[in-house]
Amino acid sequence: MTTLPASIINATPAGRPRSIAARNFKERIILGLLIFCGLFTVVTTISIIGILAMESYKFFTEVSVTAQGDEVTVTFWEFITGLEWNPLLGAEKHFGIWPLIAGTMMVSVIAMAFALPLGLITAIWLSEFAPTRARNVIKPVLEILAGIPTVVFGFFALTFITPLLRFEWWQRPALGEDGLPILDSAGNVVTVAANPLNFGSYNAMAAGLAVGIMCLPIVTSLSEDALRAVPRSLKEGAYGLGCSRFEASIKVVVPSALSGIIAAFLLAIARAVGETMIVALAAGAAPLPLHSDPTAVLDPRNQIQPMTGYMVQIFLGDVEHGGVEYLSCYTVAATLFVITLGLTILGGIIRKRFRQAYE
Amino acid sequence: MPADSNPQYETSSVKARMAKNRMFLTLCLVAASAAILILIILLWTIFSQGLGRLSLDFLSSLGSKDAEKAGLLPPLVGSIFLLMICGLTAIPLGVGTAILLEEFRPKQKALATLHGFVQTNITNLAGVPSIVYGILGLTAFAQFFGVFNNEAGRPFAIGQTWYHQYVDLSQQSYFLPVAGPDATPEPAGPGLTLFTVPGGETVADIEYRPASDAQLLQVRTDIELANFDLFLKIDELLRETRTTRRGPVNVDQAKAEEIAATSLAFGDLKSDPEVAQEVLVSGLLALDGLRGREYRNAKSQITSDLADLEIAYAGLDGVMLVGTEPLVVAHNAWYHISLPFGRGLMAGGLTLMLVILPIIIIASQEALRAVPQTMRQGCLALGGTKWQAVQQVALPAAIPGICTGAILAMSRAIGEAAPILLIGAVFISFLPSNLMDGFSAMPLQIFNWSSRPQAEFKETAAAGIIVLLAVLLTFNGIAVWIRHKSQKNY
Repeated sequence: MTTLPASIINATPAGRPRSIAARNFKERIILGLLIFCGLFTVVTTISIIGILAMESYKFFTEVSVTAQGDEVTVTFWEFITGLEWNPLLGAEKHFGIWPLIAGTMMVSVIAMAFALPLGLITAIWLSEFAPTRARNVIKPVLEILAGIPTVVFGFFALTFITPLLRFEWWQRPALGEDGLPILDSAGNVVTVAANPLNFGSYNAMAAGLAVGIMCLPIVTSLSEDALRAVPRSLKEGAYGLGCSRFEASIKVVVPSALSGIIAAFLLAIARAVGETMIVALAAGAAPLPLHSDPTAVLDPRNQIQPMTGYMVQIFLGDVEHGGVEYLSCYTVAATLFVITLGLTILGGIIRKRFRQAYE
Repeated sequence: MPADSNPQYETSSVKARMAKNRMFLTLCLVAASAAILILIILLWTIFSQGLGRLSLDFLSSLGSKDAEKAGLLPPLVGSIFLLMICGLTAIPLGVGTAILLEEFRPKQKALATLHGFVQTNITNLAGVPSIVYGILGLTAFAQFFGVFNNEAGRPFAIGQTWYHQYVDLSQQSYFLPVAGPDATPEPAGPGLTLFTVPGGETVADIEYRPASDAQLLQVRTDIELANFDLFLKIDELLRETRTTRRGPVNVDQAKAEEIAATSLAFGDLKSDPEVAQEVLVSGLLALDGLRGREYRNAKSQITSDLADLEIAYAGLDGVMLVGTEPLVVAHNAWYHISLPFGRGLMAGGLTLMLVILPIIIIASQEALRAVPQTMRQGCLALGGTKWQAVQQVALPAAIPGICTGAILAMSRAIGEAAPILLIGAVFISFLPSNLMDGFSAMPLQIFNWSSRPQAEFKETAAAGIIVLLAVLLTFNGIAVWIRHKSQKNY
């Protein structure tokens, strides 16, 4: 039996020797710091919920005085069932959330009618058929579109989509009440946009289309990820049975990736619902008059006010802090938060629960 | 199985199926090219409007009510500061959270549940609309949940020097340095050494007149009060030019002259009516397209302009009344910090941090996940601790991915307007001098310009967008470069 030379037994390891205790202590400090970082996001969520709940509670208990001198509070029931939203004008204030929700829904429906089919088809093409060179063009284009700030899309809606809808390149003479053209002081005929479809200068359509453009890259990239996760063997099986490429993708690939696609759609809807700058610029500032004309919700030509648009209007306007109008913003924000959170959670559940394991 | 048996269900002809296939492929091509077409139209819309306004002057001049003179410097500087604050806070917090979630997965059941909860929470936070973060930032950072709103004491502040501010009848300000906010004010009079600006030169040529003398004249507030009727009238006339009740006012030259002529009859002006008319018209023209807070500020500017006119007419320029009480004002040094942060750069930057934190966490997690487990195990096998494995092996390998994610998150932050809408100012004409100062940011300024009705402001907005897009493109370019440079396959 050989013994190790003393030089080896007594040698200290190269590098800085450190006691185990010191090392463990450092390890604990660092773990503590990391846990602090991790808890920060939890604190954020708790703060959001706390602030929205507290201020909404204040909103429902805030006493305001009507023109007749009566003291009234907004009841929760009135808020969630009311069809009139009129916090600023008139003698009587009304706080029924549905006109704002309907405005948000109009914008989202228009946006999704544009973005979902287009995005899904683009995603199918990108994942199934696109030649590499085309992919190398489309992917960066979508990435650029995804990176463009939403205020730019708002500007686009205001300066391109709305003029397009109003046919502003086609000017016609403005007619007075007598049916004759109006002349300006220099004797020239005053012209206005032809506007055969009667779009307002702020309208739900333009805002919805711009939101749709904004959502297009999200729908495309998330759906493409879902489609790419479908294993090759499934497709090969379909081709082996004599499917055309169309049949293989529509009847095999898309159904297999459906949970991922639906999750992508839900995330896109959540983005559309929470979108602020586009609707603040292009959608207008008049809540839908659901109490007098419920069909207004079907007409995308008029100006509307979604939930986010209302919040921007109040926060930028000259409303007394702490007043019932100001507090109503928090309640609207709480509604918006609940809706988007619901959509996000639903998307997560669908993706997890219905994910097909193929391996 | 008989050879001649047909399938039991109808099949469409191969020809029809192939036609369907071709149609679908065409549809795909159309859909895919739609994205390209949209991008081209978008860029064309912006560049055709904005290129003409783009110049070095545009980048280096301050804000203005005049579309041709308005510059992008204050929002540009504001955005840079916001980005620095937001990056310096969000990146350490985000990477720390990602390391915790990826590298320190707990084994105990209770902790594992908590771990899963934090993970789900982050995914949900990424879906919260950014304007909700704005509300959180306003309440948490700008107001500290109202904790410091006690009536007795002042909020905590450092980096402030205090002055007593004396104002003469033509509203020129003079300053006297004092020890603190509670220093006893000294009434104005001969023998008081005042300064033009905080820390500036002394003023010798103030004319002190006894208050009794001045009572014969009219002090400024009286003049402004006397013109009160005039302003009610102007307000009423302007209301007619609005399309909606809260919409912007529309004033052109003819309208301004008309309003000035009608409303001057209601004032109590002593100076030359023609000069007053001129001042009023130019003031009214500056109101064009404004609403809300901006409208009120610009309107009170007219009041002060007219009062100046009256003061000059009465020969009261540079005259201060003996016994005038000073105001207490603070001059803030560059390192000034106060709690709560107030509606300033700090609150804005931290709010943007909240917005991009989930993005940075998710990107960093993905980067860490891409580092193969074997590398960490190598470190652990050599006797390294868990943190050593992270610090010396996993983190360096994940750095390129984290950088890419962080840069993309920052480019999101620089374009976000909704969260800082509640904290920043949409129109500001000075550069921030400390982290508590009010600020504007590029997207806020673009929003403000776009929402004005005049076509010239649309062009200015387009020019602002070009600058914003150029900054974003640079950021994305850097991200792509890092990704390209560091592509490794483990």
